Amino acid sequence: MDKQVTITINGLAYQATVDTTMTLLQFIRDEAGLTGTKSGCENGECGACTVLLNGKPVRSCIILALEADGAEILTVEGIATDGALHPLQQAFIDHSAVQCGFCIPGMLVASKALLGRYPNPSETQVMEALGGHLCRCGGYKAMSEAIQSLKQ
Amino acid sequence: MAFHTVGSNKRKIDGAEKATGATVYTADMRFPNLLHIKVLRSPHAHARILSIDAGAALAMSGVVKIVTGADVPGPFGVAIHDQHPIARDKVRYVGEPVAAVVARTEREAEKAARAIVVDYEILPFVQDPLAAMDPSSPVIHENMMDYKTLPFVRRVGHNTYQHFKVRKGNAEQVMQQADCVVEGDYYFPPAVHVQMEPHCAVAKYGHDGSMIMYATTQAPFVVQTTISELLEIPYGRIQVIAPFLGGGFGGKSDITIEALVACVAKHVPGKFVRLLLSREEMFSGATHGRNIKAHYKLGFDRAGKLLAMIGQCVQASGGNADYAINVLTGTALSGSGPYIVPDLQLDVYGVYTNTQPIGAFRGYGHPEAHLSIERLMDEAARKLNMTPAELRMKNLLQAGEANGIGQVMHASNGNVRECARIITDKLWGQPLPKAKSHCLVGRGMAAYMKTPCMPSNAQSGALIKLNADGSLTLSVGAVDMGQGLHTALSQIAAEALDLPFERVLFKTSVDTFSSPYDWQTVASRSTWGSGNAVLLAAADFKRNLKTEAAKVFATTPDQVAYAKGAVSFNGQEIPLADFATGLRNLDGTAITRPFFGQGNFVAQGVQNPDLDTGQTNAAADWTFGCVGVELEVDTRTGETTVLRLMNAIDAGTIINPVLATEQVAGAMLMALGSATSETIIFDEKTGRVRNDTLVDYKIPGIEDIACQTEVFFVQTPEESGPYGAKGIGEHGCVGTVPAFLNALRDATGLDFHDLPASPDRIITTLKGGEPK
Amino acid sequence: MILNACPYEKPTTLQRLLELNQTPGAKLLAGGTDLVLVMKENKAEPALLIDIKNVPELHGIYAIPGGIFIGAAEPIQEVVEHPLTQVYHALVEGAGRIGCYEIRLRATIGGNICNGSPSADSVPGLLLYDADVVVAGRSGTRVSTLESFLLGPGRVDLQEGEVLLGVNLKTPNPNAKSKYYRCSRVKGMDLSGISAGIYCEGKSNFRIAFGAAWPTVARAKAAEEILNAGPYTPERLQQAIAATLETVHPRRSSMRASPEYKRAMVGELIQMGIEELTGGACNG
Repeated sequence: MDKQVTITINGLAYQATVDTTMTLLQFIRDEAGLTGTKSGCENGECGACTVLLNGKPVRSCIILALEADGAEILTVEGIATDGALHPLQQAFIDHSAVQCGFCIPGMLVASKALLGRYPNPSETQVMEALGGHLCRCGGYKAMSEAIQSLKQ
Repeated sequence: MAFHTVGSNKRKIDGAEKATGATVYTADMRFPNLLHIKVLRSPHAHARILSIDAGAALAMSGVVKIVTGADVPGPFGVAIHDQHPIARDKVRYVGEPVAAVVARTEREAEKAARAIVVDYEILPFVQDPLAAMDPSSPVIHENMMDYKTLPFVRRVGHNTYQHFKVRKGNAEQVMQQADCVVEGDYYFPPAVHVQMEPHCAVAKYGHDGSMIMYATTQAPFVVQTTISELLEIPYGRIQVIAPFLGGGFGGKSDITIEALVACVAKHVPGKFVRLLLSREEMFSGATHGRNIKAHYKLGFDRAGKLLAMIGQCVQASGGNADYAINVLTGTALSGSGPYIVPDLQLDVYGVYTNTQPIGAFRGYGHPEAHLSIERLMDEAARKLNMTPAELRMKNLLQAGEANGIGQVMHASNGNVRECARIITDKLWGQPLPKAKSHCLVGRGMAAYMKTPCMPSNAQSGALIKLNADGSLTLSVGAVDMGQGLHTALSQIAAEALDLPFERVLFKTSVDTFSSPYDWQTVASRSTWGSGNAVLLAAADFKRNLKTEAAKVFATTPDQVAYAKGAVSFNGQEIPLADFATGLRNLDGTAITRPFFGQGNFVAQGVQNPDLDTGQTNAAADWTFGCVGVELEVDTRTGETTVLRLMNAIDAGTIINPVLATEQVAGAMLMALGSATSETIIFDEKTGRVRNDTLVDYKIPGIEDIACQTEVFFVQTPEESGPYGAKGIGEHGCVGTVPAFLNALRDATGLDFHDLPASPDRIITTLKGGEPK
Repeated sequence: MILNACPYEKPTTLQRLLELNQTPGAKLLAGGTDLVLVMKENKAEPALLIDIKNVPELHGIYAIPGGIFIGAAEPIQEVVEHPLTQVYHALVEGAGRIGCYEIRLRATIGGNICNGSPSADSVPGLLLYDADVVVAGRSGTRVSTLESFLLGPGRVDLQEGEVLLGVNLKTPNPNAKSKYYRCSRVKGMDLSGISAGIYCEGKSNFRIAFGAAWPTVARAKAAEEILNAGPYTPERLQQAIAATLETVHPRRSSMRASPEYKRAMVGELIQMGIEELTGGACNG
C-alpha cells in the first residue's frame, strides 16, 4: 500500500514512501521537517495548516500526501527570499498583526495568494481570503490593515 | 514624566521569527527516539472503574507501556488535593484520563488505547450548578471532607467544596428600605479558551532521577513544584522549559497535562515521551471557563444611590476544583462591581459537577459577577428613569470610598468615572445611526473593575546580563504567550538603563533551571510584577556597574555617573561593553569582576482573603474601565452586527499603546464570542461535550469583528507599578458581555439573562417570548 | 488520525475508474474535504481509495445543447467564478457560502451533492434550475433529475459501481432571477442552520428550495403550487408559508439551529426572497 511520492516544497524536492494515513501536513512537518506550518484542529476549520499547492491556498491537514505527489508547495518558510522578509511579513510585523503567532503561517500564505489574485484587494476580498482563518488573539483588523498597506 | 522608550510603539521582539515560521513551539521540537502518549478517556460522566484490561493492548505492535491510575501517585493539588493524573476508582467527567498508552508512534498508541477494555459501573450524574448543590443529587467526591486543603477552603458538604462570604453592614435590612429594587438570575455558561496551539508536553525521566519537561505552560514553576510533590523528585532536579506559547488565555496556567506526562515519563526512564492533545481533547480533556449561575438583588434610593446588594454565585466547578476555587475568589473580590456598596451580602459557592474542571479563563471570575451587576444597573436605570450613564455615575467608586472588600480606593487605583465619562461622550455623543430596513439599533455600556487574583506572596524575578558588545540580555520567569510581555519588559529595561530599545535582548523561553522564579504568567500581573522586577534588576545592575567603575576610576561608586550605556567620572568615559569582558591594569591584572543585575519583586501588604466577611486587603491593585457597544440587529434573521465597540480603561501608564490596544481589543472580541455564539453544549443523556470541534464551537472570525473598535487609555499612574503601569491582558473581557446585552436590550427590548445571544435565540425570543 | 492504510489509485480514464469502482468498499476521493475528515474519525475505512481528480470526463464547465454541464470533480470555487454559471444566481451564491476560500478551491460540486447532506449549500440553487445528474456505470451513462437522485441524509441514488459525472443545467428563462439565503451561527465560516433558494421569473413561476429543513435539500412544492396558481398576492404568500410549515418538523437535536428557529426562518426566508426578487415589500 506504500507509494513513493515526490513533493516539492519551497523549491526543494522531498521524496518519501507514504500510505493513505499520511496527510500533506504530516509530510511537510515530519518528512520535510518544516514545522512553520501548524496543526491547530486537524479538520480544516482553523486555517493554521494552510499552504499553497500549485499556487493555491489549501488546508494541508485534510489533503493526503499521496494527492500532492508531483505538486509544488509553498509554506511560510518559503515566503522570505534571499534572507529578506517579504513585504507582507514586514507589514504584519509593522501593524502588530503578529501576536501568539500560531495562526500567522496560514494567514501569511493565504494573504500572499490573495495579493497574487488581487494586487489591490478590497475589504471584501480580504475577508474572503482570511474568512476561514481563526485567530484567537483577535488580530484580524491588524492583519487586514497590513494587507491593505501593500496596495499599489 | 517624559520617557524615551516607555509609551512608544516598539515592534514586537518576536515578530520576525513568528512571521517566517521559525519560532519553535513545543510541538515543533524534535527529540531522539521520541515515544508517544495517547490517553484513553472516560466515555461516562460519572462512573466507578471496576476493572481495566490492558492485556490485548499491551501486546499490540509498537506498544511500550500502559499506565493506569493504579500505577501513578495521587491525589494532588495546591488548594484542594482532589485530582488524579489518571483517574483512580472513579471517573467524574467525560474525557477524564483513564489510561495512558506509550508507543513508538501516535498511531500505534491510539490503536492500543482503543483496545483497552474498561468495565464501569455507571452512576447518575449532575452538571447543573444549582442541581449539584441539592442534597438529592449524586455525590461526586465522597471523601471531600478528608481531602488535604489550604486553610482558605471552606467545605460545606455534599458537592459544595467552597463557600466564600462577603459581608458589609446589613444588606437584608437595608434592602427592605430601598425605594427601587431590581433582581434577577443570570447565567454565564461554560466557555473554552480555544488557543490556536493545542496543549503539548514532552518529558524525560532520567536514570539519574532528574526530570526534564518542555511544555505549553503559562506556569513552568507551578509545574516544577507539582511534579516534585507528586513524584517525590527533588525540586531542584526538575527542569521545566516553556517556549513560546500559541495563546494561553488562562487555559495553560496551573496544571493541564503536565502531571500525567510526568507520571508516564517516570515509567519509561531514559526516554522522551510526548503528549499532544487533539482539538477534540482540548474541549473534553482540558479545562473550561465560567459556568456560574448567579442571583443578584440591588436596592437603590429614589435618587439612584445604591444602598444594598445581595448576591449569590454558584459555580459548576467540574470533576475537580483545585483551580476553580481560585476563580471563585476572583468572583468574590469583584462581586460588588466597581461601585460604592454600603451594605453588601455576597455568597460565592463552588460545587463539584460532572463536567470538565473549571480553570483560569481570561477575566478570572470577574466577568461572571459583572454580567449580573451590569445588566441590573441598566434595569434599575430604566426603573428610576435615568440614563445608564447617570445611574452609574452616581455610584461608581472614587478615591476615599471603600470597595466591596473594604479597601479604601486611592487616586492611584484609577479613575473609573473618567472611563465612564469617555464612553458616555463617545457612544452617546454621536447621533444614533439610522437602522437599515428590518433592523434595530441600540447602545449599551458596562463599567468594570479587575484585580490580579493571586496568592499574597506571588513573586516575580528578573536578571540582566551584560554582553561583550554592550547589549544586555534580560531574562524573567514570565512567559510570552502572544501578549507581548517580553517586548514591554524590554521597553522597561531600556528606559531604566537609558539604552536604545534595540540593545536590550531577551531570553524568550523560560527555563526553571536558569530563569528567575515567577509564580505564573496569569492574572494580568506580569507587566506589573515582572516589570517591577526588571526595574529592581536595572537598579541593581547600575549599582554593581558603578561599584566596578569606581575601581577603575579610583573613586567611590557615588561619584560615578551613568548615562546612555556608559559610565563617566571627571570627564573620563567607559562604555558598558568593556565591563563584560573585564577591565585590566596595564600589567594585565584584573580590576573589575563580572556582575549581573538582579531584581525580585513581591507585593507588600497583600493579605489572604477572609472567607467570613471578605473584608481584607486581598487585592494587590485594581484596574477600572468602561465598555460601550453600539449594535444593529436584523429582526428577520436575528443577526447582530456590532457597529462600535469601545473600551476606556485606566490601566496606569501604557508601556506600548499598540500592543496594549491589541490586548484590550482581542479580549473584547473573545467576549463577543461568548455573547453571540460560544457555549459548550453537553449531551443530556451522556454528559459529553457535543460541540467538541471548531465546526460546532464557533469562535469569531474576521467577518464577525466589530465595524469599529476603539480603545481609550486613561493613564493614571499606578504607584505600585513600573513607571506607573499595570496589567491589561484580561480586562477587555470583563464588561463586554453585559455591555453587549444592554445594547441588545436597548435595540430590541429583549432581556437576555444568559448566553449566547445567538441569531437563533434572538429570533425565537422575538417570536415567542423568553429566551429559550 | 487515520489509523489504517488502504490501497490508493488515481485513474486517468473513466473506464479505469469504473473498473476500480467495482471493488467492494471502494470510496471515491475528490476534494477530500469531507471524506478525509471521515477517514480521520475512522468512521470510514475504505477498502480502496480512488482519487478521481485526474479523470477528464469529470472535469470542465461547458455549454451543451440547451444549457451547461458542470463536471462532478470541478472545485466549488470554479462553479462560483466560471462565466457560464453566473446566470444561476442562487447556485453561485450558495456555492460561495461553502466552507471558506481554501475549502472551496478543493471541495467539488460532485462531493457536495453526493455527500447527501440535507444542508448542502450548492444544492438548493441546482434544484431551482431543475438540474439533472449524469451518472456513469459499467452499462453506460444515465441522466436523471437531481431531485430523484437525493434519497435521504447521506444517501444518493448511486448504484453499486456508479459514478456521478456531473450535472446538466438548462439555460434559464431570460427573466429568471434567484437568491440564496443562509442562516448560520456566525457570519464567517459555518455550516448552514437553515437555508433557502428562491427563484422567479418576474412575478411568476416561483420556485423555492430549502436546505436543512427536510431530510434532503428539496423544493417546497406545496408553496410553489400556491404561489403559481394565480397572480401574486401577499395572501398567497402567507398561504404558501403556512403550507410549507406543515411539512417542516425538524429534530430537536441539531446544534446548528433549533426547531423553533428553523420554523421561524422558513417563512422569513420565503418572504425575504420574494420581496427582494420582485422588488417590493409584500407583507401588506
